[in-house]
Amino acid sequence: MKKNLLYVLSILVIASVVLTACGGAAPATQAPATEAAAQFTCALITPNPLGDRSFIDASARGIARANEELPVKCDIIETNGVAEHETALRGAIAQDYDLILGLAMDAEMFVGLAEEFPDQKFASPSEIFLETLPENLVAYQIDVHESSFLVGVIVGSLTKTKTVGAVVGGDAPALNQFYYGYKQGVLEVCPDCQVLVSYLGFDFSNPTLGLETALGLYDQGADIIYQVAGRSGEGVLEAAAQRDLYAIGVDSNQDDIQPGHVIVSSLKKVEATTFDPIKMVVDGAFAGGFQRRGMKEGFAGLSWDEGSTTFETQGPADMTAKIPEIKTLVEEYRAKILSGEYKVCDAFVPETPECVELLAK
Amino acid sequence: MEGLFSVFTVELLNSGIRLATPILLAALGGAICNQAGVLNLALESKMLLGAFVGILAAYYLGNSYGGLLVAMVAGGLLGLLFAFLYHKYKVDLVILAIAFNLIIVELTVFVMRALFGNVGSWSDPSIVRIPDIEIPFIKDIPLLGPILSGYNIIVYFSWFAVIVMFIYLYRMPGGRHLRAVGENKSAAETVGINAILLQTLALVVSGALAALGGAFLSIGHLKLFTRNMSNGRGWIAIAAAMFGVNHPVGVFLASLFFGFADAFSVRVQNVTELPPNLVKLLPNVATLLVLIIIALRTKVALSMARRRFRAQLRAEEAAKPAEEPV
Repeated sequence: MKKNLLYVLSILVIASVVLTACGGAAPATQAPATEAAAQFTCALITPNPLGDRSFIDASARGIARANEELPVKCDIIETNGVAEHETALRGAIAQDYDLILGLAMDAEMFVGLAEEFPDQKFASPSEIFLETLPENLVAYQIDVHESSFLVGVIVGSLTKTKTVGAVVGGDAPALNQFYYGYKQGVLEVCPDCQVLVSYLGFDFSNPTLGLETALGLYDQGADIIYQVAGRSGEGVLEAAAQRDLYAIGVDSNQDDIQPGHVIVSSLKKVEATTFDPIKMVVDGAFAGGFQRRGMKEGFAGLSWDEGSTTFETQGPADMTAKIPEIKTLVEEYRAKILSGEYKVCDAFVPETPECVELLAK
Repeated sequence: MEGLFSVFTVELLNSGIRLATPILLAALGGAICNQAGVLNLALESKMLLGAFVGILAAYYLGNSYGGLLVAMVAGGLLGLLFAFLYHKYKVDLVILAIAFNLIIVELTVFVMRALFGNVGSWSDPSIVRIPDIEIPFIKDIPLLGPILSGYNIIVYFSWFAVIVMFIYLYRMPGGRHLRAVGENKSAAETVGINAILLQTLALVVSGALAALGGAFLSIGHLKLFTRNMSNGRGWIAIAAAMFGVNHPVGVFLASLFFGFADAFSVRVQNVTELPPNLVKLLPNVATLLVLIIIALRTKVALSMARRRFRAQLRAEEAAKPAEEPV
């Protein structure tokens, strides 16, 4: 009897360990474009498994692009959440990659590793909020307030109830950058509009919560909701379809997830910030420090810029009729922002007068 | 839309009931297991299995109701496997639950990738969400109508399950036997009750209910599956079963409490000046308070029992000298 018990238990334990390995950390090795010997190698550590249809997938696309266009061989190492990040990074360091990219890793831990291994090059395609960085670590930040402002202009022009909403993953500057810009955009074209916001308490993988939160905002009169909430945001898009109302996608092009209900997506091109450091190392121009990119450099934008016409072809006629005129308006504002004539409020520096006034509304 | 009280609307109740349903189903499953004396900490994995198998079956069968049935069967089978390992090999239920909670979360992702490629969440346009049903007559009752009507069949089934479980446990001999097994297994066996059969039944029913709760998430509420979709609801269900003292009606009220706390924290953000992070903590604070209340109540009940016992002893002692002279 005792033996049997041990037998059953050991099978269960072994199976769960094996499956954990298969399901979580299977390195998806992509075929190298060129078969040159002594090739440059790099590895991307993802914060969670692939398939969020949002920023992790975007980063993976950057790796795919690097493998295709540059003489490099890059791997993707998936992790199952924060507990595995450091182990995965140390594993990658032990494998002698030329460059290690850590997506959304804990800043203190990542910088600590970079200081521990000064000869290893590191890059963070997503923002790191610290005062200084070591020489061998480059961190990118994509500013999304300007592209979110353009989203706000679109939403403010299309709303019928004069009430719009935002579902934001958590109350932090990096996420509020989306929200503040959006709010300013809405109020710019529709001064008597009301902008509601619901934060999800940093719960990014709970679509059920996203759905109920969005339904709550729709019940309060909103007709368009901007989602900035990772996989929880898929619930927001679903809520739009259930109520036959509208939502805005984020990070990747999400216009096709609920066709006809997602008006536009605001792109945060993590694929570009993943590709950029790899190219830097290949060109021999690697330098540590902070790099800020935004709409100006083409690192943030709208899905419409890339030719997405899903809403134009599948949205309701009364709304799609307005789109050509809205597009002109968006381009006007884009030109004004890029030339510096119009300033969009940035959540990282919220104490400017226009920002203080905006937040008080 | 000004003031805190503006959130107390019918929609808040609707939202709370929807959020409570998966917790209620799993908590009923947990309660019947507790009543039968088999601790079921694997509600989380059974929910997740139900969510996954439900949407998968809905996709392959082309019928979401079929998906619900398959999910319940899968959950029931997992419960049966539990009962088999427990009774045949005496595997510790806690260890078994931990093993399954670990294995199911990875197994679902593994199978999802094997079937549909590299995805962390999966959906297909052909999948139909379980439709909401307006109940005739009831929906026309003023005030109560919109609160009681307009949900899908899983929500109504969960209410029905509360009633059936109450009747079974407290009004039928089978249920009395099941509770006897939970109270004292050997004593129940000596009077001829088939304890193994009843505990197996409890585990199977619990698996099926929890799996249905999971299927509610994937095809009743949303129509997609994401990694670890149950997201801790199985654990909240265990708390709800305890809070409801394993009584179906108590469990019902406890689950509603958790559902409403969630719905409230979602909606209250736009009408208050409180920081959103604090508001999001409300359901967690509520859970903590509830657990403290449970602990205190158990303590009070124990000390009351002790006091009664002492009083009885004293009464007996007082009665003794009176008897002696006779």
